[in-house]
Amino acid sequence: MRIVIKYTKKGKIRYISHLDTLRVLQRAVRRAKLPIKFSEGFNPHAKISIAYPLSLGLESEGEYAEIEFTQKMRLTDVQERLQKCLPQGMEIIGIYTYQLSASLASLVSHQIYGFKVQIENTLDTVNVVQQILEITQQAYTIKREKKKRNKRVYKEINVIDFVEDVSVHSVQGDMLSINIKVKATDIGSLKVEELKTWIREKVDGIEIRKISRVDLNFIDKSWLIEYN
Amino acid sequence: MDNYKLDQLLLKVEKPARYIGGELNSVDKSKEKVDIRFAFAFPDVYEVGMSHLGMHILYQLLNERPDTWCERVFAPWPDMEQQLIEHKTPLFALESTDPLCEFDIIGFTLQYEMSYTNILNMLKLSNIPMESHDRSDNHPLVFAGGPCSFNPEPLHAFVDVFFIGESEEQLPKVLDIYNQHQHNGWNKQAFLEEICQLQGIYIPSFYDVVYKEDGTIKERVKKNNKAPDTIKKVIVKDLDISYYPDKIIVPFIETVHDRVVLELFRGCTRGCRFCQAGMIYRPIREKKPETLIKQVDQLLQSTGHEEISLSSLSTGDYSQLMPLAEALLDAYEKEKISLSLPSLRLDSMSSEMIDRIHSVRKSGLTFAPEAGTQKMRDVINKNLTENQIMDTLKVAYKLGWSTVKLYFMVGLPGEEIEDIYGIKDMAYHIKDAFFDRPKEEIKGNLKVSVSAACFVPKPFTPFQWDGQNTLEQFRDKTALLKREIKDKKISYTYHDPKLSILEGIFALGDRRLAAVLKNAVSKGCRFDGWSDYFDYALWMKVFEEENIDYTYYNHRNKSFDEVLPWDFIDSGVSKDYLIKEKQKSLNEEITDDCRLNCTGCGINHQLLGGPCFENRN
Ligand code: SF4
Repeated sequence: MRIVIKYTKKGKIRYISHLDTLRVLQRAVRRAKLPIKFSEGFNPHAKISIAYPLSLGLESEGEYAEIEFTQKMRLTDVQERLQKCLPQGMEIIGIYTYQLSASLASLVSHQIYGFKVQIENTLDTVNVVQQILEITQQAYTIKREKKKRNKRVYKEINVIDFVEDVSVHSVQGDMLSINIKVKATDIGSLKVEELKTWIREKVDGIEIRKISRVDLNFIDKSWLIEYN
Repeated sequence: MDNYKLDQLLLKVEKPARYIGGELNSVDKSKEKVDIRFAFAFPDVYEVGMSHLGMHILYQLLNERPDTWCERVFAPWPDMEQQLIEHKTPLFALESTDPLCEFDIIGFTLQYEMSYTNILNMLKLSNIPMESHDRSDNHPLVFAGGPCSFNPEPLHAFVDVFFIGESEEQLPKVLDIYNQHQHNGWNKQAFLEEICQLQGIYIPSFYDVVYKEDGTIKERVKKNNKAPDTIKKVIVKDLDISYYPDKIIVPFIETVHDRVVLELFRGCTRGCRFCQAGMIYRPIREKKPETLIKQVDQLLQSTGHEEISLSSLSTGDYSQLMPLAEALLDAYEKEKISLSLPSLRLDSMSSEMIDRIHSVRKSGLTFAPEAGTQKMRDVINKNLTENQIMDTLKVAYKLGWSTVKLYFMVGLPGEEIEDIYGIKDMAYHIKDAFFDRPKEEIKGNLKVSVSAACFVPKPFTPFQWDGQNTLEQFRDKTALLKREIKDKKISYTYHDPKLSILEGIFALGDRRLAAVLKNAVSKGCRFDGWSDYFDYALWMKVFEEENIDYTYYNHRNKSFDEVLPWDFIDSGVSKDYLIKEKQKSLNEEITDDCRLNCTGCGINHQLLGGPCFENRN
């Protein structure tokens, strides 16, 4: 039986890498004594995978991992047992059965980032919101540095090509919540640092206070139904 | 520290997970509810420190006390060090993120000499005066223990209290006394005077050392008449009833020992003459298989580890090894938990067993002949013959192994050029044995790797009087092997001789080296065990500035009647025994494993009050 869990990665736990997060999940499943399935072969590993990497140091409110069991399990049961074995900051906020033949990772279509920004002068709020809502109308190229056999190679990228949508989520006093929906394509996605530079350059009168990943979107979300 | 401030640091370093704490089985307490705040300090980077079993034992032991909160602190990697300095933030403990200067006691573990500068640097980064006499009653106390405390003198100026031997039983006693003193009005001097009367406790400030004109030690003078003349090491007599944690911290990041480590026994009976551990951890004390099986079960439950590693100085010597291994495999194989056994002895194992021990397949066969010729192995009393290795290899090759690792030392006392060539010869014989078989039997791709370390004479060994090879000698020998070993199937690596030279100086050093350490730290020396940060030239400059001829410490042959800096410590093994062993080594005479026959090292009288192997089997 395959399942998907949706969980958060908040607080200090955000400082552990993608691979270490995977190890935390594997260990939690083992300690919860859940009937995890192992891969065949000489070096068997537990069948767990994380849908999309998250950069080190970033908080997330919506991470997804696919887990395979050797037998049928009750989802509420799995959630309860697994939660007890996860570290602080990793909270299971959704659990789903998953029956598609494609891997969850191959279905990821977008990452959604949440930017909390502070408006320097609240009289400017309307203007700032305007700038944000129009930000995708203008191309913005960034240079990416790559190392190729000790040589530096630069590649130009238009941010807009990767951004599906920018929306203002909420306004509270001088704090604005912005959601940026970024495409996760075969040829890659945008780095958080790149998004940061873009917002800083293109929107005047704000200070970025906090960035987190809010959620992922999938090409096929038929499995994404609440179980109760 | 508030979270915002911490984030500013963490976002700028390469591996922030080293500093976040909060791992499974780490302990959080409320600082208002404890009397003693203890910082267990490991003077190396997180991954190295977390791989150290002793730290885990003491951490859980201390945290079982309701009156104590033991936290951890590791040497910050240079990128974090830079952030701490830039943000004017003192070094902090992982659990509470409070600065070290707010603690009552900082306890350093001394695992290797090359971490000494990190100790000083950690104090410096905590804004705590490095030298004990500059610390007031309000500063934290500085404790130190671990194998290097058997020669504590180079650190005498910085440490308030040394623990000699195994501190599981002594540390709690010292903390009890500390608490009493705190409740009755704290006076550091009075506290030190009381604890110095406990076995294994050394207070360096209670003594002075007087030197002769030639630089050797004339005598030690007591400055406090409560202080004992000799410091006798402490041992845990019965490991079956001594404390062992049922949980250990599981790091988020991968460390060297990402597994349940079972300590089968302490001590070793082989009596290799170069080996300090083999002498200072005497006598041998085994745990019963029942004890071990219970411990492994609890630890697997509480950690979720996937591997069990049996560890001891010479694991293959454990009297119940095969029954234990079998019991563990039977119990955990189904759960895909693998068993790893370092230093394997294939001759005593069935091929079915070999097959079940997963790790062996992965990592290949490891041998530590230490020297290349039988003569040299007799000198160092390494009872392993080439025939024994060959017999094992024949079995192993047949079973499909093709990776062999060999560990050697160069610069051993009495070594001649033939002995260096012997290293090469042995490697070639091992290769030949692989191909000297019928064609159809040869499978796999043979890989023989030869590693050569540079010998460092250590206190409390029969070689403590021997001078270490010079840098040039080491270079000649390691280079000779580099030239001579020219075979696609055999790879060769060697340790940096410079590092071993410095290790020798501090291993054999005395109080006068404290000034050198202080100067070196002020010049930026730290992480000396890491080749990226080790700066030999800088060290040489420091010796020059301090007007110290380092060759006095490591390159000089000493006479048996010279007073050695560590003579005031009683390791339980008598000096007479060490002298006898040194003389036997000159005659290339071996000493049997004392499991077979007591060879009279003295530990039984000194520490046990009875024979080592009473009631065994
Ligand atoms: S007293 Fe005898 S048996 Fe015990 S460690 Fe010493 S030599 Fe070995």
